Order: sequence, then structure tokens, then C-alpha cells
Amino acid sequence: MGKILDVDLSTETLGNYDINDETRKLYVGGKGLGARLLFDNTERGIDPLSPDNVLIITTGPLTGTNAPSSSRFNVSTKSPLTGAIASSSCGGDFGNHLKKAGYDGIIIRGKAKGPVCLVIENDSVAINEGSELWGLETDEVLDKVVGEDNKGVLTIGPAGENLVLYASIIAPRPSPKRSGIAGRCGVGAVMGSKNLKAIVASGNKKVPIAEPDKFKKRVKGQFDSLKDSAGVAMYSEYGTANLINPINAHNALPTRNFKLGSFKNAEAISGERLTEKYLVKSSGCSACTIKCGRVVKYKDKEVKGPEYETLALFGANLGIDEMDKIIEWNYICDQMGMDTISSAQTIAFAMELTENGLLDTGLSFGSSENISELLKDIAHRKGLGKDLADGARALSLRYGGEEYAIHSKGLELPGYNPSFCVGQGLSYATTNRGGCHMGGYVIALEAMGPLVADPLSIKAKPELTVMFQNLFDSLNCLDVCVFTMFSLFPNIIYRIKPSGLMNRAISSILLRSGPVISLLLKTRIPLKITISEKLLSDVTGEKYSFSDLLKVGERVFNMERRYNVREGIAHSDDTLATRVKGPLDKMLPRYYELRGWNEDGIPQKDTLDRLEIRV
Amino acid sequence: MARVKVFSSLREITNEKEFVIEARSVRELIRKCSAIYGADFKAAVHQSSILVNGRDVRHLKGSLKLKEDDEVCLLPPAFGG
Repeated sequence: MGKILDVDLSTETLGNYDINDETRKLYVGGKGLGARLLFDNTERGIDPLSPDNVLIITTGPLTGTNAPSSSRFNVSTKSPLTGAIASSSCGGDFGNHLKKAGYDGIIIRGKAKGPVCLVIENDSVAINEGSELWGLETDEVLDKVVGEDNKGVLTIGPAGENLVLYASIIAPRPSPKRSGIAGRCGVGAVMGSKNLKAIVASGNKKVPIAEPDKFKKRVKGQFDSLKDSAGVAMYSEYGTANLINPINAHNALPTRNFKLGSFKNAEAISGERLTEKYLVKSSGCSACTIKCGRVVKYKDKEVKGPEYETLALFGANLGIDEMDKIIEWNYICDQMGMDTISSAQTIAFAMELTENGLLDTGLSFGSSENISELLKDIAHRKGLGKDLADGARALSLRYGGEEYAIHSKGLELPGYNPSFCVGQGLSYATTNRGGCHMGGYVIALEAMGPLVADPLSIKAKPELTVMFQNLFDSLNCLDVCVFTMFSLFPNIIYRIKPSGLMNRAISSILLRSGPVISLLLKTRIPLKITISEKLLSDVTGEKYSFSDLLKVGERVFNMERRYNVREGIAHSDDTLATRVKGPLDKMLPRYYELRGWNEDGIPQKDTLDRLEIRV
Repeated sequence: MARVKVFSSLREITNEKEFVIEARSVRELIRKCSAIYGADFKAAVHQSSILVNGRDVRHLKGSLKLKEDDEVCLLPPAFGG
């Protein structure tokens, strides 16, 4: 097992944080360990941008091995945007470098007196002066601190320095362009509040594997299965942008601040258009064959191309069909270190405030004019940008329009309009960090793939939501890419004729599957079913069954919920704006019942005891 | 006449984004398209979702008849996001 580096920037002290074996087994790593450490290392009610907050970086047990799509890591902290727990998963290759330096994670406390850069090289750790980096954009930091060397870098841009509440942390990589981004919840602002501009990690240690022969064989098997899987085949061709046209066809593409679910000019911002006109090559994180990343042309450069979420929210949701502009805004956000989802959604809300005469911004749906400058102004908190830097919820409290401020718990919603996929709406409303698709992806069963459950029906949606949330949280503890999950659908399912009776019958059965899923969630199946628990067992030497893995996910979900309850966030925050709320209130009681929470959305003592959560 | 929209891998086979076709039901439409665009299309469409006016046919009741000007989208597997 690697160590957890404990850094106090106020006192400039360095040490190692002790974690016992039981905690490691219960919380595994990544998001789970992050939640536990955050709960244990912060007091209730702290200001997220004060030295009292901690920034926690955690890798997973598979990070740094050559398991498919396993180079990810997690950032947890108290979010300045929401006041709730923040967790943000990040790709790229920083996780691998940190692990090879001998660390499973870092806890960063306090606040440095001036700008600093944390440098980790195997067992040598130093807090270096960072004034020369302050003010730089994220690629400039990469050039300055490592150039083309093989080191992992994490940095904030001007947005993090200026405490933009949705500033991100970037893990830039020179080539191929597949920078990782811990995008959401304002984790970059917390890093900026500590005067920590960058972290550089490198090392040459081997990541320990308890059963190396078994592991090697299994990794080869998973690479083969990913290569043949119909569930991930479209990523290298079209990237995540492959979803624009299908989601638009399902009427679930957020359009004009979620007023609509389809965009007339969706084709112009689609994955097909991106590939046809702009793609230089596809790219992937370390040890990844999925290759969802896009390298595209932007002026005289080759840059990281926009993801589905960015295209949906900067495109359809602003009523804009100019791919060149979206590529530019994506680039600006990456350089400023700013979340594209929250940036775009805040601008959409400002457009509607202007349309309704509540705030004069000069912005209007369908017009790309001045948005590039506005994004830079947000990052520097200048002019109108100062107002928009606090996100859509803060704007609605200042100027009105709460019924169409599209967020959950203060975190702006991603690119699926819940009016047209009600299960995804339930997931948005209940996921601990707020409006998030990475904590539960019910939309996969509502509008994608070989099996579908009617997106407008509430039947079985509480059960499916709990199952997806537990599964995603367990994968986020391993810190493997959730896209590998799509290869779990066996190819034979895709061969069932979609308009045939068999497939329609399956869809109908899915809506009646609530009691069965509920039973499955309660039943312990002592078998290894998916590749994830097999790899986890091989690496750690501990025996994990499929049920054990799901229970880890359930434990982590409840641990995060318990953190939020401690911070005063519960039932009244499990909601959505009136515009997109749909039948949410009809699903919540059953959802709480399945979770073992009371009617106020608070985990009951026996639920915490069953999950071995000690608070 | 139904308006048919095709995406991603299906579009690579048809070489067009959109076309119209005379068909009284979804079944007939798929049969006719497969006859026009060949075995690759037939294989790919069997892995695809079929939407009529924005609704997946798996959620529609009845015999999947098509009316004049219905929009049919053929969507190969897509995941995101």
C-alpha cells in the first residue's frame, strides 16, 4: 500500500497520514476514501475557501497498474459552489505519476503565505515558491514546470486564483492532447484559496499487486473484451460527442436554458460534424483503448476537442450552432481552469434573465458575440464576469428567476434535460455533489444502448437510480473510467432486433423490475460477476464479490450523504428547478425508503450500522 | 412517405443523413432500407434504436404503423457523455 501525504501549507509541515487496514478495505480508494478523509479532517460549517477546508487527492487501487482505463484519480473537498461535498474524478496521467512516487493520495491543509508549488519526486517532497507561475494559463504552467518531461502536473488557471466558484483543476499533458480535468464543484477555487498553483509528481516505484499472474491474465482479457465491445465502439470514431444526435432525437438535449429538449441545428454541433470537419486524431488516457478524446484544430494549434457536455451546453443550450466558437470556448475554459458545464449553464441563465428583463447583460440566445471575452472576464472576475463567477444559483438569489435556474444543490445540470428523462432527474436531485451525471447515469437505460426503460415513466426509476448510483460510486472508488462499464453489456444483447417483440418485451419488463432490483440490492451474491471486483481482488489480495463492490458504492454514497447532513443539506435540497422538476416528488419517498433514510432524507442509524459507517 | 434520419455508423453506409421512403410500418421501412443499402445496413440497423417522432418504438403500443410525414430516426448504440 502507498502512503497518504499530509501537507499543511500554513505551517509548511509535511508528513504521512495514517489510515488503518479496515478503513482501506471499507472505502477502497478514490471517491470513497476522499469522503471518509474529508469527514474526519474538517469541522462542521467551515468556510470552503478558508484555510480550515482540506483538499484531498486520492488514487484508486488500480491506478498506476496497466488495468484498462485506470489512470484516474479523485479530488474531494467542501465545495464553495454548493456548500456540499465535492468530488471530481479526473483522467489524464497525474494519478499514475503520483502512485509511482509511492503515494495513494494527498491531504492539503491550511493556506500558504504566497503562491507555492508542491513538488513530489519519490520520497522527496518540497513546497516550492510559485510566484513565477501565478497568473499563468494552464498550458503555460505545464511548459514552465516540466516541458516535455515525463512528470504528472496538476494546476489551476486564473479562475482558480480568482476564486471563481466553478474553477476546475487541470492535469495538462503535452502529447497526445488528453488533459484530465477535475472539472466540477469548484475544486480549483479551493486549491486557489490555499495559494497552491500546481502540484508536480514523478517517481519510479512499482505499484504492488498481490496476485500478479492472475492480474496480468485478466487485464489482457479485459483489453480483448473492450476491443470487441459494441458498447464502446463509437468512442474512438466520434468521441463522447456521439451522443448529440441521439439525445436530440430523444428530445432530451438541453436547449435554450432547458426550455426545450431538441435543437433544430443539432447536426452542426454533433460528433459526426466534429469528426468530419475538425478531428485530427482520437486520443486516450494512459492504458486506455477506448480513446474517447478528440484532438482538433483551433487556429494554428492542435487542442483538446469539446466533450458531449460542452457541445450540449455551449451549443444547444445557448441556441448556438457554431462549432468553431464552441471549440474556442472549450479551449478558453481549459486554459482559464474553469468548468465548461457550469460556465455555459450560468451564461444560459444570464441570457434568460436578460430576456425577461431582470438583468441587463447584452447576452441573448443564439448570439455568440462577446462570449469569448466574457469567459475570460469570469475567470478574472471583471465586469459582468464578477457576477457570473458565482454560478446560476447565486445569480437567481440576486436577480430572481429561481424557477428556471437549472441546478441541483447549486451545481449546474449537465447535458440531459430531465423533463424528458425522469429517472436521470431523480439522480440529479439526489446525487450528493448536486447536478451530476457521473454519480448515476440512469439516462443510459432511458435513451441509449440495447436496453431501454421508458424515459417518461417513473416505474422502477427509484430502484434503477439507487442501483446506478451504487455502481458508479463503487467504480469511482477503484478510479477506473466509468465508460468501461458499457462493455459489460454482452454483444448478444445488441443482436436482439430493436423493433421486434422480444426487445419490446424486455423494455416492458424493465419497467416492472423494481421489486427484483430491490431484492438484488438487499441480497448478498458471493460471486465475482464483473471484471472490476476481480481486478480489485487481484490487486489488493482481499476477496471482493460483486455484492461487496456494490456495498462499497452504497457505503460511499451514504458516507457522502452523512457529510451533507452534517452541513445542513438534506430533503429540501433534493430538488430541481420548477421548469425541469417533472414527477420528482412522486419518486422521492420510494427512493428514501430504498436508501434506508427517514422522510427528511437522513440515513437511519441501522442503515449506517449495516454499512459500517462510524460517525 | 416517412422521413428517415440516420446517424454515425449507419450514415457511413447510406452516405446520406436523411432520405424519404414509402412505408406503412416500421417493419416495412426497415425491410425496404435493408434492400436498398445492403447487408451492412441490415446488420447495423439490428443493433440500432428506432425512434418514431422522438419516441423509441419499444415504448409505443400497437402495431407500429407509420403515417404520412412521420420522422423515423435510426440510432446505432451511443453512450456518453
